[in-house]
Amino acid sequence: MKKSYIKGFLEDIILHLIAQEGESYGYELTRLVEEKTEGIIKLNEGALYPVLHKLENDGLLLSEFKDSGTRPRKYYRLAAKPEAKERVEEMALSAKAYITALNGLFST
Amino acid sequence: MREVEKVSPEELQFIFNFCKKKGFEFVDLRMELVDHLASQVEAVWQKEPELSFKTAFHKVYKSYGIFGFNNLYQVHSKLVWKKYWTLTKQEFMHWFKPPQIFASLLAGLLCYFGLSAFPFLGFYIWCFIYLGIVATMIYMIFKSKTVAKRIDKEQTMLLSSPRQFWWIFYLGYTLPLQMTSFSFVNQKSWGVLFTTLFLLISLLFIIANFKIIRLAEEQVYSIKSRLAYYHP
Repeated sequence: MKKSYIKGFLEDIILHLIAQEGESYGYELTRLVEEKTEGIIKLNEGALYPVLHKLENDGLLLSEFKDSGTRPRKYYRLAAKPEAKERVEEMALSAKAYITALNGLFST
Repeated sequence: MREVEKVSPEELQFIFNFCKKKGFEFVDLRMELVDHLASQVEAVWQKEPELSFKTAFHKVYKSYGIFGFNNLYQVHSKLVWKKYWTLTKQEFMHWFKPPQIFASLLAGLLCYFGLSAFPFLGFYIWCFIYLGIVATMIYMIFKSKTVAKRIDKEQTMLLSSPRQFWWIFYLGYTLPLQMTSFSFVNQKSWGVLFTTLFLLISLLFIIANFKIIRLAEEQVYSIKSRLAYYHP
């Protein structure tokens, strides 16, 4: 799949997955996306981390380093403020509307 | 065959040093990348447990393509500027929200009417702005070097902020000096307005940078404890 298809949805995908998982880290997110989309969508590190840091800078995500047993691991979770939850819900609705619109276009 | 397919402390140290050699100078970003690469190595071992660490790591490195980590490195370098800019912007926004906005307005009005009534003050205000900015820059360079010593002279995104400060100083404060004599500032009402705005922006900029370097100092304590993982 073309990378440009995914670019516009990256923030939605990441926020949605983190909201679903409760908390997650970079590598796990790449694995989750690959598993859930059966390998059709692949997140590369060069795209993933800037988006994670942007969402963190925007105050939508919070991060914390935790001991993963052998090394420190940076976990991200959704910020507790209502804007973060609202953004996730808005994004999910927009993504669904977009998918329905595309289905309408390509189903004929 | 390995009993537990986990990257050992020595192997973790290898990845950490490898990333440093590849130019990932910001230790906070490097730690995140090291965990990512170590996880990828462990994923390779799950499929091919017979591989040595070096072979598995080489396989992971190769998956980044012909340019290796270059693309990732470029992205990371841009993140530093973004982080600095976001924090500065947040500080500016903070002073334009109630109740702080009343303090900002009061300072602006005092400066504007003070300058209108006593134009000679303009000279002192401009001296204050430039001295303040230069003093802040010197303080930030000194402070970031002192704080970096606590984490083996490593750099973090926030500790490198004097570099971003330098560019803003050059573009916002030294370039205009080369292009104009600033003689207009107290002669016209818009000159007074310009001086007032420039003073307010400079003050907020100085406050933002002091907060950034303080934040960097706080962050260093937690980084210091995590660094032990990479130096077994």
